[in-house]
Amino acid sequence: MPEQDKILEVENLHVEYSSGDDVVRAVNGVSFSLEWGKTLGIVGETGAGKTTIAKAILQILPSIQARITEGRILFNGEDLLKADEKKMMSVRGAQISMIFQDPMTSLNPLMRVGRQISEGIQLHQNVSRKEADKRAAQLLERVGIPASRFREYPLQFSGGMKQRVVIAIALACNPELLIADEPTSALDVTIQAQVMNLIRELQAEYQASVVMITHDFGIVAESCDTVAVVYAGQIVEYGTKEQLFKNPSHPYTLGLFGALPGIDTGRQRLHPIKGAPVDPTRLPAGCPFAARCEYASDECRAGGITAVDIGDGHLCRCLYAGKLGRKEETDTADGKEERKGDA
Amino acid sequence: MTNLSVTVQDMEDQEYRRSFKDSAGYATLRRFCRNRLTIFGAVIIVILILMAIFAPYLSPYSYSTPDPLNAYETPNLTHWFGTDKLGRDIFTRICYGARYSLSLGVFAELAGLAVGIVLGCLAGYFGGLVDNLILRFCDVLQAIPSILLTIIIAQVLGSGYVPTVIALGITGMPQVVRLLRGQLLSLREEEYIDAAKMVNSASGRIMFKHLLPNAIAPLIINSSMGIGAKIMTSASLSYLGLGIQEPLPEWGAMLAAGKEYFRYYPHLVLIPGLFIAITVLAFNLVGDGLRDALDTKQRK
Amino acid sequence: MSRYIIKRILWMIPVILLVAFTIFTILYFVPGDPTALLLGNGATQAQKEALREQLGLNDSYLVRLGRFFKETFLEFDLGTSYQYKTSVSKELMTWLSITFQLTLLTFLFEALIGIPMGVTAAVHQNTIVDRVCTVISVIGASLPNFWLALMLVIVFSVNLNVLPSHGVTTWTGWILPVAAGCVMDMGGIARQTRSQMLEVINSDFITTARSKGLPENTIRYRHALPNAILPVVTTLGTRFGRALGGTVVIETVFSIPGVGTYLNDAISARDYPVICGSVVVLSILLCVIVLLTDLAYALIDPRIKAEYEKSGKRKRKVKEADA
Repeated sequence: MPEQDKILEVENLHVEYSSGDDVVRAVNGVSFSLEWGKTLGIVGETGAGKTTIAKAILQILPSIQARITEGRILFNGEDLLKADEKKMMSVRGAQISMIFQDPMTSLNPLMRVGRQISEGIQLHQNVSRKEADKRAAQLLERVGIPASRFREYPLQFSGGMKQRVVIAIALACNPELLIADEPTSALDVTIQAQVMNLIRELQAEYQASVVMITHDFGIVAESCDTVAVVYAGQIVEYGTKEQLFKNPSHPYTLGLFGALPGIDTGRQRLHPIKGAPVDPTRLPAGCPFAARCEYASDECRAGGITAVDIGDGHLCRCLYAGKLGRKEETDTADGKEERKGDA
Repeated sequence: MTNLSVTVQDMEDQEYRRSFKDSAGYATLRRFCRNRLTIFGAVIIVILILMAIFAPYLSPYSYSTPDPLNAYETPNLTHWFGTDKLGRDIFTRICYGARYSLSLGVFAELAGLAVGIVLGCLAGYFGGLVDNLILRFCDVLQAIPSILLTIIIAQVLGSGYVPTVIALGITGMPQVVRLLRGQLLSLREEEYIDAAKMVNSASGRIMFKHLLPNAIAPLIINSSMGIGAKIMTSASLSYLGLGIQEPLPEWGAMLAAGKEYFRYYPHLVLIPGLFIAITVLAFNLVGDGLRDALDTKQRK
Repeated sequence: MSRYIIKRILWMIPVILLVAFTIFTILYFVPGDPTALLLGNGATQAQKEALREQLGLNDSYLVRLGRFFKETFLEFDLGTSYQYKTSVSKELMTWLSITFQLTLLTFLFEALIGIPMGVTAAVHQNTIVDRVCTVISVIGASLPNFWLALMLVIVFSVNLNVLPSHGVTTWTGWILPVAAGCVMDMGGIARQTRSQMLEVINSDFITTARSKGLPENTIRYRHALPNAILPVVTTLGTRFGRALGGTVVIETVFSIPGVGTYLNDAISARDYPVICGSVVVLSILLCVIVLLTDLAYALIDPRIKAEYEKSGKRKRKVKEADA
């Protein structure tokens, strides 16, 4: 099997949440793959289904509401969706682990931080409590917290420190794959860089592959090799970092770039994407972005849009893939007329 | 022309329907109705209210005229729930009793709520000394075991309907104060209150337009449960010989009157108690349903 | 921490004094003359007057209030019962010990059945097990305890004749009062435990625990349960304090010589020293129990402990916020 160079392959993943009569289709046919030691960035707005994808890989979705309806998640060539709970337990924390978004709530407030780290070590590496505690203390030092704080409780730590603890928990058993779910978005800007640097350092040290979930193109530019842009539970554009930054092709990606303040381009005005993300309980038949897209036509709303390869594995899920470019110069109100010409 | 107007009308209808379906009220109502137990509770309450209203039409017997020849009858076809020691029809008395028990619960809750809301708002909004005084007052009331406080107040005021309402209201009040105060304190920290202050809303306006509506959901839930609890306590009072007394057909009083003979005629105690239990159950179920429907925190 | 405890104890003093003041004032206005009840119907006006003078009931409100405060809080003497002519403090201890045993037993059963029931329901959320637990607890919480007591007496004492219907002279005597007393609050505890447990199970740190690959039982009992149980413990503590005075109904049904019966009789007889003394002692007990519960809470939960320590020393607040 050619899977040897791929640590993770996700194929056609579908996830639904049901609450009462409403069914939320959070993830709709997502496919991507990640090579050993590389970093994949998953970018999108809040509610686009990024976290759901991450939790689906680990199968820690809330079992009552969420359901994985379709797809395969191959980890080292083995389908995790077919694995039983016992197998998954040995994968979680040991081979795949996760850094969570909000360090304030992701630690057990009643348990000493040291124990929260050593718990997993004791379980997966089959060592005594004492040995596990010793390794946990070393880890604490490694993420930049003095081992003397081993017996303290999470409330005695600041947000950045807590996130370091969460990172230590994730790295406790030397995992092959690390999923970082917006690891810095809940932190102060000054702390963000420190935490990102720590993650990058540790990734190199532990030779882990990383799935980096973020809405920050800065983080993507700094640390990712490939990028998947997610909208309404679909990957709308997928490619290497270079492909995506040099030639963003999907209107949504273009919109995201337009919403970024650029220092180098000298643009005066930002272009926010109009409207709000689509209601996931009422996904349209056609392109989910059509309602907010300035290029949308009736064909877009009709449906049947597939991802198109616009060169070297650069995928774009748009009827006009490859025909739209970054429009730096058109930032006037008459863009409306131009749009029709474009189409 | 007519064609066009119909279309417009249709569209407006659709628009209206959608906007109603999207509203928060509709969502709450739907969540409320989803729970079958809640509906069950609400139906029971409606039936009990109907029983109270139409009591005179539901049975041919009087609730007060003694009929010694037919005393102590066990439930049968003529007297569905049997008769008591004076031969009065228990079913009739239960129907009339619903008037007392239900209204007692509701009025006692309202009394506690009215005083509690005023004090709670004052404490939660002004904080500082006012808050401290009101809280200490509640401390004192709550430092006396509540059933004892109710008994003592009921003794002071004498037995009867109004004294019972007041006694139950006073003991229920501190809880309302604390609940509301807590809500207001946490809401005060919210940003939209700062926003209201920023545009110079008067303090009274902020309280009634912004704070109170947001603090009201927990109060509604608390009150629904509270009515049940009040009905239960008033029955306990009657049982102890306080509160409402024979010959009034309040359920607790009926139960108390039957307790001397309950070894021989269990139905004298069984039936009033069953109705108390069903009523309290109904209010608890509705309270639960309201909590699920209104509590945004739990819904996730 | 010790600062906090001292502060809380100091706060108890005005509360207790106010309770004493309130109860005394209420009783002053209670209609009814203790002498009439003590001497019976045959007593003449002169006899009543003499007894009133002897009991000090003819003094003004302030004089009586002052005497009551002096005796209670300076001399620690709760006075002598009008009815029984015995020392209130001595009597109270005997009656209170029975009530204390009854309350303690009732609470043990409430907690030992209610908490596991709530956990079971939460763990099996939306299954048949959950529904059964929910229905049992919601019905249990709706049963009036005195009614349930009478029903239990009918079944087990009158019909089956296996358990005594009154008195606690033998151990079997405790069964029905405890059973009737615990059902109502047990339902409440089970419901609270369930909803707390569900809230905790959906929180982020449980997802973290899950992502570590911990077995489901470890997650439930080591991570979720301690967090879910804390608010329940507070409720239990407060209820325990209340129940000390609140078992009056159960005591009446089963003729148990507890403090509730003692007090209820005293209220009907206008036996002022007994009423005032019992209420003051019960409120002190309640305050102490609430304080102990809060302290127990602080021992388990480092967040609460930090909060207490912060409120104990305002000056070092900046340092705390920094940490």
